[in-house]
Amino acid sequence: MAEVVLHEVTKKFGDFVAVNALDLRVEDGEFIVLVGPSGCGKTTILRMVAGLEEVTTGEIYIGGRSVGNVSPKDRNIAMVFQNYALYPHMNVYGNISFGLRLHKVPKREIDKQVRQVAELLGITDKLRNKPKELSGGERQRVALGRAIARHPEVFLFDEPLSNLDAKLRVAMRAELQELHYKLKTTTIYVTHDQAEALTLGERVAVIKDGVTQQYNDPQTVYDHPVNIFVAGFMGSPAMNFFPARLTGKEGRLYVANPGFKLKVPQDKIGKLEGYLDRDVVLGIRPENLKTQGMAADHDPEAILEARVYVREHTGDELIIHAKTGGLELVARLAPRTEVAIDQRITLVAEMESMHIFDKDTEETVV
Amino acid sequence: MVKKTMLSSNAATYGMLLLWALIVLFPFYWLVTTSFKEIGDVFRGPKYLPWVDFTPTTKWWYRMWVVEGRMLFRPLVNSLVIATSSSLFAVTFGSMAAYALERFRFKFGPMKNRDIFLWIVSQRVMPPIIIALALFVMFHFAGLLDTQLALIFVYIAAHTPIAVWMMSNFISQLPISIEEAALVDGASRTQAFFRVVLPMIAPGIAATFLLCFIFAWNEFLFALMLTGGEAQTMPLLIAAQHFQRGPQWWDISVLALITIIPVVILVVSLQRYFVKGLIPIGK
Amino acid sequence: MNAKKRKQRATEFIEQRTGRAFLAPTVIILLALTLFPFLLTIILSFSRITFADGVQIHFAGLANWSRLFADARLWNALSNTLILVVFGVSVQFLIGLWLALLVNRKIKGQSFFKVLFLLPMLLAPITVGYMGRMMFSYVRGPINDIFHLVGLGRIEWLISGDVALLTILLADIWQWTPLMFLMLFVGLQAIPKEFEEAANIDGAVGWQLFRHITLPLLAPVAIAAILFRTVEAFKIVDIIFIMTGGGPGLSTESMTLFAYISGLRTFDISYGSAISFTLFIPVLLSIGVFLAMTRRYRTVTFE
Repeated sequence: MAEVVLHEVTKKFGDFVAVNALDLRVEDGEFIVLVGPSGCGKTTILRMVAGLEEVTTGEIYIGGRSVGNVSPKDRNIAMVFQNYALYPHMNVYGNISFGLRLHKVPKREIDKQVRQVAELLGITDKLRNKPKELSGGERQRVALGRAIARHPEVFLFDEPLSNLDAKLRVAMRAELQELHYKLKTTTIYVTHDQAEALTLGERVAVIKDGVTQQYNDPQTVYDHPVNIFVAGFMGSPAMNFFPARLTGKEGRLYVANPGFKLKVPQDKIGKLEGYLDRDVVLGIRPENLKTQGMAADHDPEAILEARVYVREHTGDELIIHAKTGGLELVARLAPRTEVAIDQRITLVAEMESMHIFDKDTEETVV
Repeated sequence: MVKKTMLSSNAATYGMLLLWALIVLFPFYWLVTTSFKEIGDVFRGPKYLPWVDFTPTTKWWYRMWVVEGRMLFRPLVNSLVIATSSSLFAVTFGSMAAYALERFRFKFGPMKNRDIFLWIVSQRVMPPIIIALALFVMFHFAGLLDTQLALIFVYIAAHTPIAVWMMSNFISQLPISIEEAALVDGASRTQAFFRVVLPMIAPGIAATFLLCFIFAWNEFLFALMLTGGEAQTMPLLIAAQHFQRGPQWWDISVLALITIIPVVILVVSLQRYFVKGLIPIGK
Repeated sequence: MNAKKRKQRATEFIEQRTGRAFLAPTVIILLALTLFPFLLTIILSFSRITFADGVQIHFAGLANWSRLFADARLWNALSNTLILVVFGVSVQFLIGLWLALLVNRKIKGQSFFKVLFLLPMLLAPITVGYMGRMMFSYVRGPINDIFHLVGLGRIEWLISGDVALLTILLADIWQWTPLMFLMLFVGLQAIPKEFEEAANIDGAVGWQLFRHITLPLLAPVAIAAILFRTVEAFKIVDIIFIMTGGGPGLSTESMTLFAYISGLRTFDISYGSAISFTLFIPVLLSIGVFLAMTRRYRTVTFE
């Protein structure tokens, strides 16, 4: 069994705390993604699991064994680096077989493994080439091949796709998923790209300042973020955040600010007890702001007006940036919506999908 | 590059380059032709063209190799042994030090990596004469005067800083992730160093060895002061010609050419590595 | 990961044991054969050595030093050395820069010129000394012959005390311009084309291009090259030893030569030590002054 467990792991660089008493558990065969902004500590966590970085305090277990002072070579892991880190003086065959050669695997077996892996990744015809003769995508595959050939217990990926151009990135994402389906190796994948995290991970861990903010399957993290950070980090364009005040009368609750006044759905009122007449943060995703034509029966008390100042066509959507009452917002509309710059537009807010955050703790209330 | 920047034409460029090429080559030409001149031709004023101004002869070359071969033998061997071994050690020590300075954080009192590096490299600033006399005294008491070993030691000390400087250049350009990949792949630190790092810095090692070799091969002052007859090197042999026998230009030219040839061969064959290594690190 | 953390990570890569073991040989040999003799030189300069009953070293206080600073020969050697350094390095720099700019212009035969221009550097300075003696010979040297042919008359290159230093200077320039050329050439090659292209679009050509774009970007390399060559130039002795032996008279005696002659020819080792140590002062001063003057220009980042 190759589950990975981090128990109260802390990493300090001098006085700087990069990772703070982190607990994480990856089940055997699971593909999880560590995601967060640059400098949040996700790469440090990965490197500690790999053994390239010493743990200041805490324990790490791979397959039940404590790997605290075990060097990388004895941890039975494989890693794919952001810049691939291919050995420039060896050809592709040499790169892939290096680990096997170090472990004194018999030559015939090595050959079989390398060819199998090359076949799997479609690079059989490049086995004799040196890394500098390959394209970015090909180098990445060689890096993958090198990792796969070792048949490790755990795969560690450090932002492997960030050096590829956009199209290739999307294609590789699909390939990685396929690969995982075939190999079923426990995988920890690090990225700063939230889209990548959502598409690839069986579970996603959102990291900020060395602390896990939320660790769930992608849909949960997306639909039910636990705080403003997670809500704002996941999803693109990012969630709209509005300062607002909760006001109410006769059993009805409204969230209001100079730009608009929206009615809170009945089923959410219960949880907002204690926030009446207080300032909160309202969060609405761009796709939950629609034109009246698009929204089916909507609550007349859940509309707002705004003036458009930027339009972005993406082919399958129209993204608009607008202002209301001094507040800025972003909305995703149907591609052929007719709206001009400087035009006033009426938007419907899908309040069932809205979030309310405590202004001070930044945690989600609803 | 856009043409016509500072000068009006390519012709002017070529002209100037050829002029300098001439300035560079003429003394060499003189050296070569002198080695083929009869005594009379040398003393009767400058003769330029073979077979036109003078009749070339190969007798000095013949004499040097065959007749006086024994005189030539010892200094040649000394120079080869001293230059090669001291350079090998210098490059080895230098690479190891450079690697350590790039991959580990030292602290000796207030001295950190940068300080240690500067201290090592700054040894070149000191004019050799400053320690030459002291070394003379030291080696005298150690009984090492006039031995190959003395010069080997001195050259290692003199050229290791160069090696550290050049190899530091190279090693700082190596992405550390490649070494990490080797560790993850299952290599111990030593295996990683020999099987992954070393092949990657091979060009740097070649260039550095070349530079150290040239410095050692051509060195004069220490050789002059620390050796006598036994450990005489080629530069000393050349100088000795002059003082012992008067200016016998033909012989001296032959010797000078013999001294140059190994260096030229080494440089021409390794010249592409040579250029890369001289890019200075910003101070 | 930001750059600072990356740097920290890199410097913990190998263990202390390995790090120290790798650094040790270099440090040991430098301590033994450089630092120790250096200290010994200082001690010797305060001593007096007699060879009466075997070798004896006596303490002599400031005797050597007071004698030295009153010795006109010191100031002569010092000024000779400084002239050679200042004029030598500047001319080498200018010619080297000019050559580097020329060769940088993607002309045919670039590699040929590159290798060719390197040749003088590969010679032993002793050999260059000989070549100089032959070529600058008053009667038999080709240089005087050519001068005579073009009507410039014969010059007493190595015979006249007034000209001899110039002759040494010429030989030194001939030998070491290649080094300047090489370093500056490599520096020029490292400048990304985009800067020139952008400047061209902006309308800068020729001298403007050079002064505002090329030169500032080349500055760090140029400064390193000048520094390197200056440090080496102070050590000059081989060429002088053969070409003039310090003469005629003392007109070409450099500091190193002066120290050598005092130390080993007349066996006044302690005096020689004092002389040697004195050389250190102008070297350090020059470096210090130069570095201070050029502090602004030394770092350039291509972002």
